[in-house]
Amino acid sequence: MAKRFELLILTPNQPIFQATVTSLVMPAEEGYWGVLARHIPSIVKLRAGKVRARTNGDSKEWDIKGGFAWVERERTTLLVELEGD
Amino acid sequence: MPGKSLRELRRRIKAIMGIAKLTDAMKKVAAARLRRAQRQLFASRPYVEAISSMTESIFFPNISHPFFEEREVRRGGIIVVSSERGLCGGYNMNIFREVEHLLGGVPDVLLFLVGRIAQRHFARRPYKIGGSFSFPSLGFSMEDILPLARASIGAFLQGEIDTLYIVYTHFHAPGALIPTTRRLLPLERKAEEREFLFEPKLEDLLDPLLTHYLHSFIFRALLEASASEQSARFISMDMATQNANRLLQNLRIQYNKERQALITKEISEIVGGAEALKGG
Repeated sequence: MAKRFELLILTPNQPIFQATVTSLVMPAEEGYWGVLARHIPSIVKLRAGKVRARTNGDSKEWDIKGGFAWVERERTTLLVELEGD
Repeated sequence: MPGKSLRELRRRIKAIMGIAKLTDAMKKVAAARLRRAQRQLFASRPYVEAISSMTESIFFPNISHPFFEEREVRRGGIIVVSSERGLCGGYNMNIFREVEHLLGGVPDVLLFLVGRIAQRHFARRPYKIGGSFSFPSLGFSMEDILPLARASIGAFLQGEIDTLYIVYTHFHAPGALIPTTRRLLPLERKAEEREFLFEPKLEDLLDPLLTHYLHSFIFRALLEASASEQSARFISMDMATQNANRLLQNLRIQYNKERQALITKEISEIVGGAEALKGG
């Protein structure tokens, strides 16, 4: 089974999501970024687009307007504004 | 004449009942607004705290950006966060006292005033005003604070001020009004160098990241202040209602005493008159 990490999605208005996931794809300025557990610590500027998280079979999607991703080894925090918020 | 004092007492009782009703209604409004302000504050804190931790984790010793520039302080900028309306006890005075304290430490000052009460307070004082701003006391967004953030941060970048502070009331608990001063600029290099991947590369990422970090902090300070203001208004209206009720109780006792005295006097006059007639 794939290793999991914690995903936290926060907007200025409220926390949106918190759970452990196996993978994450997010829209960076120069193309999509994939994140798995134990990713090297990073800070990524996000543009408008779709964020997709997978937990084994399940997948979830959010439309974001932009923001920042804070990637740590065991946790990724998305600091974003949502489309239509 | 006792009749007149009874009428006077009745008039005062009625007036104070009106005041108590009014302050009680204001208290209930403030309680509802406090709940809303608190909800918004608590929902936003995780975002702002994460932005702060993330951004501060790369304040490496060798990082370079104009926001880190330490200059000799000739003029300091202060963002003063007050309220739009009064009737909130010592809320604004606490802030002004904190600002006066800070003013002692800088040779010259440029003020950015939030709220009508601060604008009125500083209008008659000899300080230079960099801008005046007003926000709805509830339900403002990150975008609403941009004019304030741009004006104050821009003044630092243009060298008009050499340091920037924000003075606001941090919301610890309802009723605890603690004026708080925080230095926004220049930023302090305090993180340990670590390996990090940046996308885009650091020199392109830094400016939007640091700007957003500062904006988020200003946004948070205004949310903290808004919850504090509502709680101050609730407490001050609660105290006013209690005082009015206490006064009302005293007046009613006095009124009843007067009325009793009047009745006693009338009865004794009638009895006295009857006795006199019998005797005659």
